[in-house]
Amino acid sequence: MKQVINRFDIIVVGGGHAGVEASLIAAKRGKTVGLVTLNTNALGRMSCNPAIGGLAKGQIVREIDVLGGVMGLATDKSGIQFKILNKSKGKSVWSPRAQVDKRHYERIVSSLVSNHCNIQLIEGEAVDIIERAGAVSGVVLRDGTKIACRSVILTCGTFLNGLIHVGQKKMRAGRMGESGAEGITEALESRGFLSGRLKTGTPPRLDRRSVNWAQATPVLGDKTPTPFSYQTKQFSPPNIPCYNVKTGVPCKEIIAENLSQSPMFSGDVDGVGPRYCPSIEDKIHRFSNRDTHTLFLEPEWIDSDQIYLNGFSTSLPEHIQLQALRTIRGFESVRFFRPGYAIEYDFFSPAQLKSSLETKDIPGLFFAGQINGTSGYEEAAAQGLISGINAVQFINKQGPLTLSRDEAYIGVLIDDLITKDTLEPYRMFTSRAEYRILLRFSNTPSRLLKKAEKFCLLDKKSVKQIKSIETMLHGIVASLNLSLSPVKINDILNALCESPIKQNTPAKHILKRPNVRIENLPRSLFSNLTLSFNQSPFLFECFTEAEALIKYEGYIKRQYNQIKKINKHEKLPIPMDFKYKDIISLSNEAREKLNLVRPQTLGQAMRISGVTPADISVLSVFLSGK
Amino acid sequence: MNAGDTIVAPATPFGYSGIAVIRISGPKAFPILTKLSGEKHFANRLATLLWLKDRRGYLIDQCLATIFNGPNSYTGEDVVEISSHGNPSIIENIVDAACDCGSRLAEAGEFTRRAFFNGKMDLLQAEAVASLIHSKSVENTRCQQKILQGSLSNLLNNLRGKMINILSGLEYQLDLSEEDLTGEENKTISKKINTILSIIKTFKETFYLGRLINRGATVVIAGEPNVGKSTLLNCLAGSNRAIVSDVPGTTRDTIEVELLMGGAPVLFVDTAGIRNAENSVEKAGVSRALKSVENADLIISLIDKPGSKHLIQTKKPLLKVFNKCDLYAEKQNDSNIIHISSKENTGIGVLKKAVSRALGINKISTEAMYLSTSRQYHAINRCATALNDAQGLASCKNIDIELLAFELRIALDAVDSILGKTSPDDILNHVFGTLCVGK
Repeated sequence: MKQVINRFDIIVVGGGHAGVEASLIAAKRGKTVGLVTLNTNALGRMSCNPAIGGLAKGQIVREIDVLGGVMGLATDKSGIQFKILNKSKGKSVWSPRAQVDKRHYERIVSSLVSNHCNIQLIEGEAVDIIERAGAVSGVVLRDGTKIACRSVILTCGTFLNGLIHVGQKKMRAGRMGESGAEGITEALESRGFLSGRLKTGTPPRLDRRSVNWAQATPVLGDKTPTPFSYQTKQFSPPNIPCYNVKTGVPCKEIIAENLSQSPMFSGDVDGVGPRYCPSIEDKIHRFSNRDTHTLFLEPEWIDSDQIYLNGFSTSLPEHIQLQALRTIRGFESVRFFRPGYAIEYDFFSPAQLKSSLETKDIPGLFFAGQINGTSGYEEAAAQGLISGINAVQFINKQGPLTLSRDEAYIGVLIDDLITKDTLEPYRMFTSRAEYRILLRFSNTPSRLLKKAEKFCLLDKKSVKQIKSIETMLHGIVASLNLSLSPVKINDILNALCESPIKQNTPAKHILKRPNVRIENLPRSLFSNLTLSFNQSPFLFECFTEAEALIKYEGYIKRQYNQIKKINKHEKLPIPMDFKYKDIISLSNEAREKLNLVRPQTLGQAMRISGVTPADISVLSVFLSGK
Repeated sequence: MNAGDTIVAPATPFGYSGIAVIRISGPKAFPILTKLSGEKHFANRLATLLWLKDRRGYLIDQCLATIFNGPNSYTGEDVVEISSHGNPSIIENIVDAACDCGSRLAEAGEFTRRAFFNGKMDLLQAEAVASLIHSKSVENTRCQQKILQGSLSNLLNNLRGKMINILSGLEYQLDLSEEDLTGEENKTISKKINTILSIIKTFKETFYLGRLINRGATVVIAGEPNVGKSTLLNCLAGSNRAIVSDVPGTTRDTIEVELLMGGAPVLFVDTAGIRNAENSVEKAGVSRALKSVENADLIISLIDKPGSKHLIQTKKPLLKVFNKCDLYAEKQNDSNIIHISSKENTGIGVLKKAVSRALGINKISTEAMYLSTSRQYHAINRCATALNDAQGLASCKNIDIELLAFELRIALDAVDSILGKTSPDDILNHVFGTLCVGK
């Protein structure tokens, strides 16, 4: 056995999106961090699609940004195409997304981590944790090295007993070409943690030079791009197109004939895959009446020859993948750098966590990212950030940062993880948030800035920058209180098929009409905005948010009322050692589930599947009796 | 929770029955009984026969009253139980009189809730009370009803499925599809919402039927003078309730007869013939007739000559009836017209059936009991309002899908609350809210 080589405040195991956010925020808060990773050259690696954000995920990146994370800023610097999705739908579901130069993103994140004086990189493989006096006190590496610390964050991604499938071929690995991590699962299981198995997949990477681009349809980003990070002041990113192609009947036939060769169908894979990110064989099997599926060709970096084929995730044998692809127009002579593959990995049931992401049974031990059964860079980064913040709080003996369901998508994410059964990798959707109308990407500061300040997650300059954007928003909202004269607005109203006004009317009343959008109002209304605001990359977003505040006023109020109604029970705490077994009046299923999850509040208990309203009634009576 | 005040409510279902029990609980329970009855001394747990009077001194009913000294009572407080005759107006009068004396109407389940908070029973017992009441009402309904109750919840589930179907389409648009909307989507959504709304209306009707059993309905017989309105009333009543003569305008005041039809009390009202009366008494009669038409649930518009016009202009349900059909060989060729002869007592059965159909009484034996609580009715109303709002949103050119989804979720929650599928807003209230008022 080797000696203790060093002592850190926090050890982070894993250098993916969760690991780097955890390390950076803890370091920012002044803690010393040891980041244990198998490969110090793969920090912040985007192992799947070359994009950040997207539906519901874009909102998460914004939340990460306001809570002091780096994902947004790194995306703004490495993005090659920015677009707000869902623009034809309601404003609370608008979601920013960026195509990203993967290599550039990695470089940015990697340099942030390696250059931070509080972070030390440790190349190695963690195989166990050390416990002392009922709390975590260090980790053990493969070579026997022990590292002491006061808190451990495990962010092992898909590396735990990772098993890659391509057709009938199997390889032990964490990612294609990178070895997996073994031993941790078993070590944690021996300490009483429950694990399970999940699977995810990734599509082939095509050689750009083998595609007939004339057959593909280009898709560009927004002409006026919106940044992810409020810290981005100058913003003029490239707008590099992606391309679409469509699969046809011959492709469908080849895949249908070879379904049995896909390990997903032959029964070789035990893990459950995500329904919403289905493999191409899954799509063809389940939507057998559809002849075509759209595929997106996304460059992995600027001038990259490597093209990510979004929509064609598969674990079919390599030659079948090629055969199917070559039936597609434009892909007649396509070649790839590497085939699509499926990967199976261990995860730990997140019901074993508190809403701080600390494990319920071992103080100081935190789990974040795919180890908790989630999928996606953004979901992982969000958990990394929260676990990093709370590891610091733990060491400082201060209360954790927890986010509620009505305050952030991250709150929804963590609450869902704790209370819902993990049947497939968890991805965020806007529909998971019952208070969706309140969780707009454009109102993130009003939701989270106060907490960010309270937990010292942002430096003064950053806080000031966000506040200046809020000031711009307030200026726009104030302008909407001004009145418009019939002369100024009636021509516009006529053009929009809205009835004209007869007397001076506050602009916000006109904006409430269904067919009127804020951009329809005369620009002169907003003449009070200063020049610096007019040049801000957030001007468009502030206009959007102002419109949402006016148009959704009634709905926002209704959502607040819903929250008020439920909050009384939501926050009622349940002691961690509550004896569910002693309460005979609970149903058997409820008793079992409650005992497993050990919810922290009655609100959490309510959302556990298998726990009925009657069970909750019984529980609330016993709780109020204490 | 307003512990400390005194509450009152009927403990038996509101309707016609042998006896009804009204319960008063709280510190003022005994003083209230004294005020109502004039009696000052009651023996604990012994029934006393007495007359109750209202505030103005009018007699309400002769009742049996029993007092229970707290804490040895149902609620743990001082309790009075009054057994009156089972008539809705008597029950209402007693409750009103008790409220005049300083009690307030209890909320649903409030008696049991007080029992719970006073340590008289635990929560499981409280729930058992609810299911006991429920099981009794099930016993009282026929087998057939059980089946139909099932079919009603099937319908609700079906409705739920339809809403989930729309919602999942919307959520797909919001969460998975990156394609822009074409504007065609709203049209189909709007159509689908309409379908659901029409089902909702059916549900509202079942509430109407539930009320029909409890409160009954009013049917007004109206028409020109001397078409035989009073004869028809007598014929329906099976007795000479109204004075009949050949002189037009004999009936001046309205005359009422209550019949029990298929379980529902139906009040038939004979009115003065409608014409430009010269006599001031008859004039008053005509205006009274028109007024009772306003308050009617159904109008029987009576004529007695071929080609006569039906006088009543109303949006209310109306039956066109041709009296004295014995005098004419040929029938009116309007199939909507019911032919009767009050004098010969022919066609009366057909008329009764038509009345029963028009009021919905023919449906009573089947599904009327289901949507009978106002909690369910309010839930259905909430659902309908949300769907209406959703419909409004779907008709906009710029459609904000997440708002549409918000409304549909509210509609879905409302249906779920009837089916008992969602988590409660207020947990304790949920448990006790399943109890009827008075328990």
